[in-house]
Amino acid sequence: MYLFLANIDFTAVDWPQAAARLHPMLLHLPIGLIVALALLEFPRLFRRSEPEHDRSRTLLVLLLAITTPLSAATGWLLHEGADYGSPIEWHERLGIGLAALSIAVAVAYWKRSENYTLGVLASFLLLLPTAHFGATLTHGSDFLTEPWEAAFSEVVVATPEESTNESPLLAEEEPVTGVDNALIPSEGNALVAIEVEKEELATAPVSVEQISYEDIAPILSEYCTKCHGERKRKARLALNTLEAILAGGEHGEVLVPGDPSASKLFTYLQEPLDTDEHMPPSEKPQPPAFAMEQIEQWILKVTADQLPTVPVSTGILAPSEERSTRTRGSRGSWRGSDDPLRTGLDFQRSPTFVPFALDPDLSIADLVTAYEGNLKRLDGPLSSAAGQATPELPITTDFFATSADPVSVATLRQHRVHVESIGENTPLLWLDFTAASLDGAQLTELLAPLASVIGELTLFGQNPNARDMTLIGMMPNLAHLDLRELDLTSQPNRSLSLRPLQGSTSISSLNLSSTEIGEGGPYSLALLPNLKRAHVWGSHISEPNLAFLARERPDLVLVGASPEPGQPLDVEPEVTFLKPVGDPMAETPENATCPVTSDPVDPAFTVLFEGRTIGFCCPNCPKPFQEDPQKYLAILDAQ
Amino acid sequence: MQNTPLDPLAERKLLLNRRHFFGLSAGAFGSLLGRASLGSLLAGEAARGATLGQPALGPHFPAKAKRVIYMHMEGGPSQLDLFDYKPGLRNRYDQDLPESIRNGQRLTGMTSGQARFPVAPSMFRFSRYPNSQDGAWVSEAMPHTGGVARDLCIIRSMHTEAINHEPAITFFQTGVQQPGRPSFGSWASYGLGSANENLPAFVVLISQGFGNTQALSERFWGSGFLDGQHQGCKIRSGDSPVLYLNNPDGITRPTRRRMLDLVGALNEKEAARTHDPEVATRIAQYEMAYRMQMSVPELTDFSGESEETLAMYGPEVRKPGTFAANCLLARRLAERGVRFVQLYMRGWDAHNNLPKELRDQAGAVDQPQAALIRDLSRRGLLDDTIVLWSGEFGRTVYSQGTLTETNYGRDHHPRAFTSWVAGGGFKPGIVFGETDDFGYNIIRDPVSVHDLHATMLNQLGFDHTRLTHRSQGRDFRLTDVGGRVMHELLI
Repeated sequence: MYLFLANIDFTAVDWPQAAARLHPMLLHLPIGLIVALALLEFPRLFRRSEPEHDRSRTLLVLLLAITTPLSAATGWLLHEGADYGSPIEWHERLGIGLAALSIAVAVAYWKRSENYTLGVLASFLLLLPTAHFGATLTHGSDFLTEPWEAAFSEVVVATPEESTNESPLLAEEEPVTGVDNALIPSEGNALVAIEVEKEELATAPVSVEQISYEDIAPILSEYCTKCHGERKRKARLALNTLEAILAGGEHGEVLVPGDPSASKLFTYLQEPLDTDEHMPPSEKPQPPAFAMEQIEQWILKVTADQLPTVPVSTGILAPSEERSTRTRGSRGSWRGSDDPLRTGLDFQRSPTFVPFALDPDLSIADLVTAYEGNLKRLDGPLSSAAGQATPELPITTDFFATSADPVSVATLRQHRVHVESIGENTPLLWLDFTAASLDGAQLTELLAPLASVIGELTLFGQNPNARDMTLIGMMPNLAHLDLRELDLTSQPNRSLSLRPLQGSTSISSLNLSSTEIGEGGPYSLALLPNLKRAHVWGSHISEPNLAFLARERPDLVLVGASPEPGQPLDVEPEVTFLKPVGDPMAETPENATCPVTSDPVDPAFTVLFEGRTIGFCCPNCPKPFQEDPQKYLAILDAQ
Repeated sequence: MQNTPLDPLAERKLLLNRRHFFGLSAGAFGSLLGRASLGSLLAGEAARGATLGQPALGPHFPAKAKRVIYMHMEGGPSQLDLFDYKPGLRNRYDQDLPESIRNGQRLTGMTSGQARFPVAPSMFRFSRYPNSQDGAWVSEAMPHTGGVARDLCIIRSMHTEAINHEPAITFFQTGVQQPGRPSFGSWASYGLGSANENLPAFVVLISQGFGNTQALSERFWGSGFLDGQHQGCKIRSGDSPVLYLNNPDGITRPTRRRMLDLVGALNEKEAARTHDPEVATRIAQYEMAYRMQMSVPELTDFSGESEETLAMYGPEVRKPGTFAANCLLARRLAERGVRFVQLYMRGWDAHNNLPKELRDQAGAVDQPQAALIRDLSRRGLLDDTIVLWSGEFGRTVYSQGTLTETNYGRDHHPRAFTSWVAGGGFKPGIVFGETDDFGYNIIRDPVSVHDLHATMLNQLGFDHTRLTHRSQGRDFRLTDVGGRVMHELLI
């Protein structure tokens, strides 16, 4: 126990909230006390008598004066820490009023004033609305009337008094018991109606293509919005509108477009029924399988551009200021679910926007330079290159996303592209197309959505065209580009043009082994300012061009040929052994008796030691001798 | 792009359910949380479809190396006859190993009864080959290897705990002498997954040697308590490189496809019902085997290799199963994204007749291993491939059995031996560590097996203390409780 306490970091506790959360428990004390006092004092309304001041009353009043302000204070703290919709306002005012009244009752009691009895009864009357609003907060406003709804809508039965007669106080304390089925003759009909509704949902499955928010809204309203709706927002989460769903709750976002497994809206339905995470709670009606499937399909299909915009990131990016503030603003929040970029509004950007490095410290001047470089690259040399038209980039190119878009990653994986995170503290990815089967998909379309988060790209054996290469050249964070053994059968001259890569400031290493590059290739290489290392074995660079590169880019390490084996610097002369004088086996031992056992020496077992040949009686004796030669030498010398 | 309709069944596989998630070790779990931005990405990893039931964790930090080729010289090659040049011993031929050197250290039962421990100097001539320092001395048994000394980081100060083959190989492969832990390759597969969905992440290639051969247990490449998919996949020479991969006679590929579709549909039903990730793994493994039916024959077909390349590996390269063929196969595996290729060369256990056995063994590995280094280097793959060459231990300076000028044997020696590493961010062209005049004890810069493992994991992007898996209530790691990243060995 001591250890357990020692492990708690008390400084990290949010004490106001810790106290505030006692409110729902504390508040029942004043309720009980007020009701008890009211029952005690009630008869005095009819039978005038002196107020009694016995010990039990004193205790009750004392407790009342303590617990009511305490409940009000914790309630106030609770409200400070969270947002609870409209009923809270009245609940709070009345609660504070009740606290004040309780203190007044105590004072009156202490002064033995006549007003004490009135105060108690006033407290009781004030308690009713206070408790009512409080209960509305936790159970919803239709909690009492809900079981009656069907009855009233289907058949007109029962008198209104029946519901109002019920004391709100009692109802809140014991909400479910005592519902008499006989009072609700139409319940059967209501059930049928609900069944029919479900039937319609089930038999009219919406096709995956067509599914939209309108299709899942009825499911959410049937199973979710009673607790997560306009009136009641448990966990500060509402699911009654698309905007509210996107806003998420106090535990973060619940919807990740395209990724059900990351969307709590879906995963909480899938949790085991007996866990706290499972929604709806186990005692509540559970949605049928088809409903869950529809939600899953909707999440899968819903894409960022179909969602309403969130103000933070609306609009096409204006020049560099916004970009720079945004990178600064989102620093360190790659992982944050509150990252506005996660809403995915970046997908509709025009391709001509300047890629920016994810480094938030990049200056505006750097961005502008890169931007201008881009424009040149798009409009300038490329359009005239070999009579090719300027390749069109897909409009979905996203040079600004600061995290990988899961749908795009999933799509790549479907094409068996290896997608690997480069490290824990970076959003960058390594994409390896070695085992990819594109099945007609275009490289550019696959790469574009992730353009800003590709740090390393392996296209071993693939067949990138000029458009793909242009996109690759514009990737702002691509450091390692592997173009080994490309399939160049469809390329002009069966060689790869590196021209689209020109001007890339991010590429630092390039592997072109066994990929033939065009005539201008070396010049393009020279125009990659940050290129440190290039493998050009089998890429057919002519000698003069290699010389040109060596001259222009002395900092660039070119690995051009298979390394020639190193030739020996020195060779040892003939191996000769300097042998000890004589053969120990042939030498006659100097002693006649074994120093260990004192038995006669067998010349087969001898040891050379410091120039002396020592004989032993058996193969085991040299061992003790080796362990302590001095001891046995002394024995020998004694002989 | 975002509007691409996805196959809902395939997407179902993306489910990362809770059991699955918490099944990871605490360390791994922490690292997952640490990369919350990639939460959805990892969900993808979870059902990578092809190979992974457990999610690959991905590197902790940007990796210098993407893959490992580990050439294990089974039996323990003699460092004194290959890399640890001790010319001074030539003057001590047949003298007894001084007690001050052996210092009562344990010996194997094979020589502990020997009457004397006569020093056996190497009868191999050494040459000094250029490297980044003042040259590396390599014996005449490995001239090609000497020729690539510029790329090698030769560690002369390796030491291990075990003195016999089985525990020593187990220790080198798994970090513990006792059987049961996952192999290095399994840890790599567990941490990184396969970069090629058509091939396993961890492949084992075995070549028979010419010398005294010891048993090579399958468990050396077993996955221990890690998921079975992380165990090494042995690729054999001959008609059936992967056992049970080929369709039996009479079963055509379309028939197989139809069978897999049906089984797959049933398994999908089960997966939808239970959300058990193991079912998804099973589906993925079937599909991978189906793709391997195509990818493995392509892999083992050398007809696309140029004559020049084949010549570089030497004449034996055309004979499947030889070390030369396996070196070329290792390069082909490496360039196709296989994470961990484990080559075994058997037969280095030269207790007797060492000069002849070592000459044969070295003759078989020298040219191919040097060719592999050069081939990787020119293709730009050596930069991010760690090539490790090591036995499980070294051999003694004293002769086991009769010592003559032309023949001797050497016993197991765990206290000092030589391994070398090339590529993957290890310093090229250096000789590291030093042994005493007898090559018996390390006198400078010792490197333990755990240190080497920790350093290699570091290059693969892992903090070796955080690449863990929880089993039987505690977290296990490759380096057990030891290991230091030897930054001295790294660029």
